[in-house]
Amino acid sequence: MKQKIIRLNRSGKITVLNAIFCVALVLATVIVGVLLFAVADRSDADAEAATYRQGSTGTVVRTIQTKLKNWGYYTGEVDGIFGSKTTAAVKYFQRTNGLAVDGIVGPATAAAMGINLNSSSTSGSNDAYLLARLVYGEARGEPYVGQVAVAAVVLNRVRSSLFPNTISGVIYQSGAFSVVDDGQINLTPNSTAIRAAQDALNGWDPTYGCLYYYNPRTATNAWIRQKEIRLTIGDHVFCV
Amino acid sequence: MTKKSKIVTVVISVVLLLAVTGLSIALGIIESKRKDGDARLNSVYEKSYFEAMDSLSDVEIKLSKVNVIQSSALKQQLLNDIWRECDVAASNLSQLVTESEESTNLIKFINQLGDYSYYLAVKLKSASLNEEEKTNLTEYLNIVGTVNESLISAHDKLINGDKIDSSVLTDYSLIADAIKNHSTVEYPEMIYDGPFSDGLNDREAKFLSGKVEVTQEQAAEKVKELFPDATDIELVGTSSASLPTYLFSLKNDGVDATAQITTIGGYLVMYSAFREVTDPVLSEEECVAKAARHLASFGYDDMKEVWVSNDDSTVYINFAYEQDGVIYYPDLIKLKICSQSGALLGMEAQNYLYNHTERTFSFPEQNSITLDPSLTVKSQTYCVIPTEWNTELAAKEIVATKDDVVYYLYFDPESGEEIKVLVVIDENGKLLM
Repeated sequence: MKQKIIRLNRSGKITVLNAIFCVALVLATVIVGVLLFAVADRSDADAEAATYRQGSTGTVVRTIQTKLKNWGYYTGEVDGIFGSKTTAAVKYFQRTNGLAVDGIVGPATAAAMGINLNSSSTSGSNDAYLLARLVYGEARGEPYVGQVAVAAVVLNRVRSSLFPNTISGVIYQSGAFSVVDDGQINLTPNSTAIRAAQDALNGWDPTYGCLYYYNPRTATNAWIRQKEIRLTIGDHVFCV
Repeated sequence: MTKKSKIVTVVISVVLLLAVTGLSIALGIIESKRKDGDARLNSVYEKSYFEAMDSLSDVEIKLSKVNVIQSSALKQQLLNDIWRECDVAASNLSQLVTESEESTNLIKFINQLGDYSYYLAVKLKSASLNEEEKTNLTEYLNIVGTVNESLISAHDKLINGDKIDSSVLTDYSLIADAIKNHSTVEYPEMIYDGPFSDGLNDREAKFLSGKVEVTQEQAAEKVKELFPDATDIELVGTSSASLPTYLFSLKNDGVDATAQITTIGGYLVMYSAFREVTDPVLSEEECVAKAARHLASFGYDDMKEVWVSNDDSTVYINFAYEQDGVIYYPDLIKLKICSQSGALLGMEAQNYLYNHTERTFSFPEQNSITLDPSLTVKSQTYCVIPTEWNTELAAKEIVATKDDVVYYLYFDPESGEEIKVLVVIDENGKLLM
């Protein structure tokens, strides 16, 4: 092989040599890329911490307000509701402590306040967040009520004898949701998906007990197509 | 060969050698990572498989014992064990099998068997098993036996080298095959008092019974009447579920919303909208007042707010029907109010439509309820509460606190016995658990 190249070279075809150089360079680049990818692959499993911003409520917000009040940054009421006064106080705190001033309590600001954001979640809210991730993966392009409907189908399955009896059991059931197989369930849900999941947990079920849904344009499973369709919302049909 | 071309040759060789070595290493790393991942996944599947098998073998053994012993206490204990083992088996099997008629029927059977066992265990506290129940248990023992045989034959294949791997997810999986081979099993229809009973499949909306059907046009008129400021009202579909509805999309308070009107009676049963709340201005009390006004305008009267939860500044308010000081929790309507604009973001009345009807519960004047002395009573009332299988119970509700934790305790008004206790979890919006 090499002999042949050199002979070509001797006959004056320098361009071939150049081409081989290029190929070798490209190969090397690809390899470096693959290696980098392999390394990067390891690190993107970063755990995600909660953030608190205007509109947030709950016990952590109360903790934030209490701390800010004790330190003299906040003069409002400790009511667990992250309003504009709390935002102003957080900004004030961030400015005086050399943090990025955005009024949002993320990991850095929380650490400066001595609050551990990760320990605040309970199993209940984790279920809600898992459900929101499923909704975001499965139905983020759908109208709001269609997103609530997808979350409601999961909860209807939990209540049904045909399926596992927990939210995580239903979501991670083998082959049940395509977003679990292709990893889209790990995307960070937006506030619409989080609210839709919360609505379903609070009892909203626009499907009235449906256990299945699919997109009639893309579904290939013949078995699911035999199910009785009860309702269409956006791109999804819902059935029992 | 000139000196220059020799150097070129060496350089090319070195670069190529490096490239090939680098590529091999990279591929090696990727392959070994893939193998690691596969092995781990495989062990997860195997664990699920063995746990399912263990639990179902236990269920078989315990069922056969229940069929021969006389002691009610021991029977209760065994039935409670079966209930738990069925739960474990169903959750593990659902990890292994893909959605298909056969596997769904198997999981349903196991879930129902557990639920039925629990129901019988509760029943045994005050009565004994009747002939039909005994026959059922014998029949279920036979079915569990058949299912176990198929799982054991799959197990034999497994230890002979047919690994359970990601191919489990295909139609050719061992487990799915094993279940298919036994799909001749006729799973029974099971009707009893439990949440998984087949008897719950067809519910009637009691409140709508006897009311007249409305047309699509009348339903659209109704939406206009309920939301006078809404624009772009459009029928987007109908639902043929147990509560048939017309589904409308509309623009209201500046956001896209969906409203569902019942085909029978023309009632608003559901309203759903989304709006990000960033700057809350209204207090919870103001939101409750707004919700109550909305509810009255929708034609639902005598409703009392029973629960308020502020979840990231979206306020959820539950209303229940109240008559003569008695709260009827099954007749629940939920509303969702934006604490920034006061706009209605959601409304849900299906429980009310399914359950609201004339009732004849009686509440005794005197009753003897003993509370844990460490509890401080905040309020008490008579009420009717729903059970998990859509029946209703009369109860006395006592709201009490201990160490700043709020408890809702429910007592049988006749016997004074505790029926249920709920605790308030205050974390990103309140939860009753």
